[in-house]
Amino acid sequence: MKRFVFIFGFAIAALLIFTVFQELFNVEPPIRPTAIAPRFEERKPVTYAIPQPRDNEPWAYQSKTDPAQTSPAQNPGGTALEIARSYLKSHREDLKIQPYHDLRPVEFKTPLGTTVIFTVFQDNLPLLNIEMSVQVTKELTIADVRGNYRPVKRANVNTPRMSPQEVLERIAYRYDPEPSSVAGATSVIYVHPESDKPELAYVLAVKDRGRKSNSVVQAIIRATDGQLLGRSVARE
Amino acid sequence: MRLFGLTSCVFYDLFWFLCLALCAGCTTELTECGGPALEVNRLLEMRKNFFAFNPGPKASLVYPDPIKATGFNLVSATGPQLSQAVQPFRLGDLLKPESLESDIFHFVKIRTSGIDAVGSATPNGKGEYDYQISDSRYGEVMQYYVVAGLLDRYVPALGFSIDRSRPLYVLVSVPDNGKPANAFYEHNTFTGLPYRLMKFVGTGEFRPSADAKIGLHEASHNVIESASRGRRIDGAGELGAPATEAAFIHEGVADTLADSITDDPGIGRWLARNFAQISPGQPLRSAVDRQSDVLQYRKVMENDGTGAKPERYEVATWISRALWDIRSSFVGEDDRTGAIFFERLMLSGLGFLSENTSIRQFRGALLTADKDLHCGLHQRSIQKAFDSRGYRADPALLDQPLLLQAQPVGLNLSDNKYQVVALGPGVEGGFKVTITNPNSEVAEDVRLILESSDPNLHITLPLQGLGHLSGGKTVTIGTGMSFDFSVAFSIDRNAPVGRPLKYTLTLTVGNGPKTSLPGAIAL
Repeated sequence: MKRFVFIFGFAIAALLIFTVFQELFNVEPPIRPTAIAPRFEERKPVTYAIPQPRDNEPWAYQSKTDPAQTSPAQNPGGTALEIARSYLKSHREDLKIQPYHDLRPVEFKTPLGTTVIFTVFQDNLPLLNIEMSVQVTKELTIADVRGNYRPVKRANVNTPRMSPQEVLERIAYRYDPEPSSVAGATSVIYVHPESDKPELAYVLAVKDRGRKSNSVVQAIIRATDGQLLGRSVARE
Repeated sequence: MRLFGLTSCVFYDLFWFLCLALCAGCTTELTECGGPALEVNRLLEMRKNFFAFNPGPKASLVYPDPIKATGFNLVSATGPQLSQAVQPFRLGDLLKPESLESDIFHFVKIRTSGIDAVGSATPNGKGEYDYQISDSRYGEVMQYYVVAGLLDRYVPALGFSIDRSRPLYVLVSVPDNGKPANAFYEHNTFTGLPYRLMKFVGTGEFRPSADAKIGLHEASHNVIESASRGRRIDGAGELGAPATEAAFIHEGVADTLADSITDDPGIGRWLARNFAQISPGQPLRSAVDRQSDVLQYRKVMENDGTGAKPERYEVATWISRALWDIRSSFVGEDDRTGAIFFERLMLSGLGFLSENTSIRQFRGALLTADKDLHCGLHQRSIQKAFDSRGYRADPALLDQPLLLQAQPVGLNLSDNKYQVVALGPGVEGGFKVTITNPNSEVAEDVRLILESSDPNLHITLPLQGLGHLSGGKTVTIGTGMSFDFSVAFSIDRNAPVGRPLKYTLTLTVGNGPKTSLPGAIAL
């Protein structure tokens, strides 16, 4: 009996010492890479998962995007990009994607999955403030679909407009032109988040006299009347 | 007696079994927790030469910058010490051997001072790019090597695609027009412009284009956009908000990636020579604490009521130091590959962030990425890196919402200073704001948000980050703090007079209830 107690007690003591050792020295087992060569990922049949609700941090500012409603569907395999494209194609009617809108994908691959963002173009001009994104897991299932696409009216790209020089004069109350402002003026279609009437706009590089930084601001200006619609600034 | 003998043998065997089990736990190789396969040997070679596997013309570079390469703090752009520090590198993926433009997706394009100003660096008679540091063409070569190398080769080898939907023009010799030397990254996310820009401003002796780590930092902003899956994690910062937590993360991660790849926790030593207040040889920012310079979270995040703090690069430095601690734990496990696995973890964490993210979310994202990639083996290291620097995982919750008073005002500029003017169609504006924390506890991650459903109100800056607000403290925007910290709008020229434009101002807090203040702009 004494021997049993001794052996059992020794075992418990050894366990306790190991636990304390691990805590004290914060021992974490070493990592070894699993392989040198990349694995080939087989294509598998894909099922669409029902999108999960958005993260609900109360303090996180959320833009107004609503995930599109989907239902599970089968898809005979593909890359993340193909899956995302196929999703949009098969839900074109649900999402009310208009024939004059061209949704162009940009793929963002990471080791933990891929997100495909579709930016919207009309007549080769980008529409600002509208996009869709499809998140695909590394197991090639759709994890999330979100976006704010809505069937806004077709923008009249031939509407009479001011010249870039004229709109620069309209915003001279605060913005100075850059050498490239006029030559580099780019046309875009601006969609106000609360409107279904897109408007032709220019994007012009200007200096904001209100900013101390040396950086240039990209101003988005309505082409018909020089109204400031938005701005974008560089990172240092 | 036999029963006793049998029992003691059983427990004897159990004892040894326990010993073996414990010892096995000490030495288990957790290969299943290494994450998706990485071409580690390839990455190790790329850290020495980004184009190790894509040879091209030879380039002679003093890498990463003359001070670090020579070990001489006072080295000049023509110093004799430089000749010993020149190393050969390869410039791979060139569209043509005689021009610094990348072949891969036609993405990286070196220019001098404008998109159309094609670079003038060309190979010599031996087909090599060999320029003195004092020559502006040296900057073209250096920045092609680091930018194209990082974006076209190294980061994809880590498992991340780069958003190449718009080419990246790298302007290496932009005149400073009397302003301090600097470097910028123009993302053009919200503008639809068909390109991105990187600008190195300053053409003096200590030009930023000669500093490899400045190029790595700026290119890392593109990496962050890509790794965060285009979710605009700092959307407000890209619209002009100066002090969002997401902007701090952007700068901190950009510093850390540049530091990690070069195994050097200090950035901008060469660029810093342009600033008299920094001693020669010292970096602009360091990812390790110095005795006199230990940064604590609460100290860097506290709003001082003047707009000076929280300061973007001070908080970014805090973040880079926490990340460097995590890196150190990875390197401590394996000094050969630890940095690579750390870089992948850090970038993978970005993929979990949402629009206008927070430091709290970033910490959580790193923990999640660690679980997905490494079975959660580094949870303690990650938590400790943040917590040991004053971060509070469970801050005290506020009992009361913050108090908010706000008045919309028109804003004009005179002598480059804001002037308050009457509101009306066509006028840009902001808000005079007073925010008070009536609690005794600190309000964390205070944000001011402007929303409106009126199509005649164009919100040009919908969100501002204001850092932490101490208990009992009041800050004002428009008096104590400049209107740069106000949310901003532009009233449409065609807005009908007499019909008020409705809006809602919301004050959100990371550890407490929000405050909403509906209002209307009378025209």
